[in-house]
Amino acid sequence: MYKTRKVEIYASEIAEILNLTLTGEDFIVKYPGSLENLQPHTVVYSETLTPEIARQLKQTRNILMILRESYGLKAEGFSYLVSPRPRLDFVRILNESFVERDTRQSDPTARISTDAKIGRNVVIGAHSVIGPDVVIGDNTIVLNNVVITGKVVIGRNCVIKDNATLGSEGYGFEFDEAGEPIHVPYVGSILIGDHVWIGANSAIERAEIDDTVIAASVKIDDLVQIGQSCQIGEHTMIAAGTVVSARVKIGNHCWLAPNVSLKDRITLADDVLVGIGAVVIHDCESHNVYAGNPARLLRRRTQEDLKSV
Amino acid sequence: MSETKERIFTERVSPFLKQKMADLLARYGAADERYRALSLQYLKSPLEEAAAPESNLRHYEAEVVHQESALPKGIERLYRRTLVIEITISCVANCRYCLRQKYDLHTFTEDEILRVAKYCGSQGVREDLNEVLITGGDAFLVPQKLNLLVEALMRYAPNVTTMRVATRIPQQSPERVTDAILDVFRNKPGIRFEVATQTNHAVEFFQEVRECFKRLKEVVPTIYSQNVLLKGVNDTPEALLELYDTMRILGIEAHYLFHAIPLQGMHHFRTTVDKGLSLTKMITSSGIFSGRAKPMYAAMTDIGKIIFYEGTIKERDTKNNRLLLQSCYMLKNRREWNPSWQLPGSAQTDKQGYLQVWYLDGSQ
Repeated sequence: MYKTRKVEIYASEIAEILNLTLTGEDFIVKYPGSLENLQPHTVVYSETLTPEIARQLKQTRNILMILRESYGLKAEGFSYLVSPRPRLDFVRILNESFVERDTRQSDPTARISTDAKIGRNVVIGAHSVIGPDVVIGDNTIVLNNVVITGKVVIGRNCVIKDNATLGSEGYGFEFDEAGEPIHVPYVGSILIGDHVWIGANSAIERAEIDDTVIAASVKIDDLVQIGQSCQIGEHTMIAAGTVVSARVKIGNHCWLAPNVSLKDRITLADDVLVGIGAVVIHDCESHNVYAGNPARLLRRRTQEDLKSV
Repeated sequence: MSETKERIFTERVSPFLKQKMADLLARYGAADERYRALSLQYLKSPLEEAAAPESNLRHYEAEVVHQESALPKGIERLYRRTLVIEITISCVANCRYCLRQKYDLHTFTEDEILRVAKYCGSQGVREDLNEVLITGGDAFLVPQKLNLLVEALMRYAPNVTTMRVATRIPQQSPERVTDAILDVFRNKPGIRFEVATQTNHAVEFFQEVRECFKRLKEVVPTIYSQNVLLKGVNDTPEALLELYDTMRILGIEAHYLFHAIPLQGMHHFRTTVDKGLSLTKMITSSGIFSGRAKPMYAAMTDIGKIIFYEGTIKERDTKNNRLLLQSCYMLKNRREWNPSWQLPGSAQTDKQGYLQVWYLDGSQ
């Protein structure tokens, strides 16, 4: 999805792009780097500054460090920028200067229905299948082996990772008089907002009648199952291995840790955080943290929770 | 009130230009015209600090102040159809004669970009506005933000159908013109893009630069260059002829040839206005050069650019070495397009309501 850009950029340029102030010498930065492996001419970030990191910084020349505060540091051999959000600014400069979108055209092995409506700058990877009732918004990237069928509307600037399946038939059966399970035809739509991320091997099930809605800026990790007719609010994050059963409503800004299971038809209000491995069988109230099996209220959600996540 | 401090305009030369200057110096020596054409443009000179009549800190004031839209700094409007958007004030190399060298350093945030785009499409603005000049600094420095701005304008301001993007990165760091930048211009139906650049001497068109412009022209067919008349760099007929010839070969259109602005620290770069007029006549009307590459000779004054035609110079104040220039701008129009615009002290209106402005001349 990304390719690296080979650039030589002054530390002061990075400061100016991020609207930060450079302390220390100006020098050329060539690569993004990490604290674990400090290399010269790199830009790195740290949320905190330990004596060990400070010692390493002084031993390696031409490091540009993005820090939360100056910690009374003397910029000797390295330079720094003070930012309220070091990692965020690191990501911003990475995106702006050191990487770029891989602009290869849609792969010739992709099977895209001629009736599908595909926006500008959409890239569709190898062996992906796009059905006739699919709409994909501008600048969305669909990686390899993705299957999108049924009535699916995807917004702008989304990413659908490898092997994801959207709109495949749902797991709905009605037992007849003889006890034979008869498949229920699923005819609903899946509506996905702008800037949504859907991870590898994740499945968004086709809706039975009522639409499945995944609002703008929702980020879904790999190996996640979203059942039919769910509604997921803006900016909600769902980590790997989570299973969301049918007709679940999840509010805005919720955070589901890995391997959470949500029982069908429950509602999570806004700003709910669910801990790792929790099995949620009841509704969850706003601004709370839930954990355990079955999940119980742990405490109110704090700003610290956001940072630790 | 935040305290304002004077911005120190540091010497910044991109690694590419540093290498080229070192090569030219080693090959031809410090007195060579080609080396001087680059070193004068980019290396800090003690002459910048010398006492001189040029005292302006900005070229003009045209900041758009709009409380409702909470616009960030960096939006300027002098003309009916066009808005100037300074997406970043940063550059990969600092030209010593930069007209925005005293501007506060700022790069638009994502939120500011969206606000600007929405302002461009708002009622009362969209009726006249159909063009933006996205500049800086260097708009190519922040390709992701540039793309976000273009996309946001397409979404929120469909009235904007022409977008000009200003850059010197092709001349200063051609290796940076990668897909991240080319993608900004690809696949944007309904938008006419133009790239505005600035080249002051033919030596700047190194092979890497030529290849870079070739890549760029594949996605933006229209590239034009405005050039600044700089003493010691290009103030000879030969230098200008070579410059415009090379531009023509590369398919870069000639736009304005600017008389160097009366900005603080610029005195040593400034020829007289008359010298520029004489050079322009020579390169456009002497028959020794094709008229296909004619620049428009202009001055960047306190009320905006004024192109020199017959009758433009209304009066000469020899005692103060200044010229009264006649414009076709009207005060009432200015205030209509940008209600926050103030008439500068150097300007006045004539009987018909057109603006005239006093302009400090350079020296021989």
